[in-house]
Amino acid sequence: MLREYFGLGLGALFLKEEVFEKMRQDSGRVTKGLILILFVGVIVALVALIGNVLEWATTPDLNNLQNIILNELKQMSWYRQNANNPEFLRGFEQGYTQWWQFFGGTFKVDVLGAVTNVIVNPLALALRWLLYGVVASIVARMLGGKGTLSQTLGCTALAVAPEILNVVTVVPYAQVGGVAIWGSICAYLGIKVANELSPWRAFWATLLPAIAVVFVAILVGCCVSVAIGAVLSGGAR
Amino acid sequence: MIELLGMARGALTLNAQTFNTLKQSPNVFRQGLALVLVVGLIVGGVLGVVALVGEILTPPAQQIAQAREGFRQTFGYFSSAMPPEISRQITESFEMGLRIGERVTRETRSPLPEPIGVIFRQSGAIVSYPFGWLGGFIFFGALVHIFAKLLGGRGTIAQMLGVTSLTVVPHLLDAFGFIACLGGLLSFIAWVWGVVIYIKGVAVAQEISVGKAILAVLLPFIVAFIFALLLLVSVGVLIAVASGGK
Repeated sequence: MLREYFGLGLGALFLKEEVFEKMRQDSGRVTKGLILILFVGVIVALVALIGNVLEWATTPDLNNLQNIILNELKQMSWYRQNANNPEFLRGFEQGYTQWWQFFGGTFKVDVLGAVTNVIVNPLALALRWLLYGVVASIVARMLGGKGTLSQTLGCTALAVAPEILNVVTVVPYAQVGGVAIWGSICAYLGIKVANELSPWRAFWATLLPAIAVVFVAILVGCCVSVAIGAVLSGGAR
Repeated sequence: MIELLGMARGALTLNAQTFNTLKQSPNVFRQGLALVLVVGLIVGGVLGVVALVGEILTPPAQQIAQAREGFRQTFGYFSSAMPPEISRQITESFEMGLRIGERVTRETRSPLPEPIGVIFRQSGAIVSYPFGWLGGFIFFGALVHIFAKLLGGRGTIAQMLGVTSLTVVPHLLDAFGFIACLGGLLSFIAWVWGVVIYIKGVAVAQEISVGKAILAVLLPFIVAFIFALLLLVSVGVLIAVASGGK
């Protein structure tokens, strides 16, 4: 069983269309797709946890670092010139705290986040697959696709394969690029094979759901901003 | 490995058979990917080991002293052309950065000793090297594939990415990047050589002429330039309208 999933993941990773075709024909494609996604999600998160712990073990104490930077900033001539101005000092302390909250976070190794990721990552990947798969299936059908929802879901589940490259984060400080675009190429092949679409139609069926998600996100963002603005202006009156 | 070496030699000499054989291979993308990973790991490995040895053999105080000296030499050229106050502020800020570095090495401790941290960081950099290439390579390859298709290309995305991966072979010269002056020159030679291989790869993978392949490679830049220009013009018009309305 493990060998089958390994073959599916590896075949999709190497963009082998026959693997997508095999998934399309499989009667248990949605279940297999879900298991593959959860498996990849858990493995990647577990491995990243090891890398995170090793990074944490070689990261200097951040509270100490924060104090050192603050002390050194206070030695600067522009600070000393304004050291008697209470308003400047208040603004500086506030600004520095805000800056550290934002910038200091880039130094922080979030081990707790990595632990919760063991549960969150597979669930997030599965949710993303479901949402994208359903929208992609609708778009593909509108463009003349012949695949069923389960065929599209089964084939697009293979787009999780490039995520497995993130296992290299077991090496502390290692980073992986290109996973998202590689995943999109796998999704394109999945939609093309599942729906028997021409390359160009498959291209649009792959791209349009992503555009739709961005459009909806912008629309929701605007609506929320308007609502917050209305509430705040109402409260001010 | 012998297969990879043969592919590398064929790529460097623009051997048509190497390109065509790779295109016809059922494992075209896997072979291309292996080439990118191997070359990336060799280059990243050499650069990483050189950096690791340098970092371990040079005490932190000496590293900071070298950085200070390097800054003085480089900034010395520009500072004379700057207003004295700005030059003083830049120097003061740089000195502050160095003092922070000195204090961090002296006053902060991590659970594991610092040399292990150095080894971890360089190992991370070595492993990340080929994956850094892969990100840009796949993104650009996908764009060129779209434009090549518009120009009548007939290759699949797997063939496109697999065959154009041969472009990484001359970048083995990047491994000499740590040598002052010569490293930069070798990297430039590798880049030009790589571009030539990439164009040949696009032509073979997509079964289009070299002229069309050049156009397909250039079109992502042309389109990006036009978009940037349109964006700039739009912003300019908006600012003009806004300021005219006042």
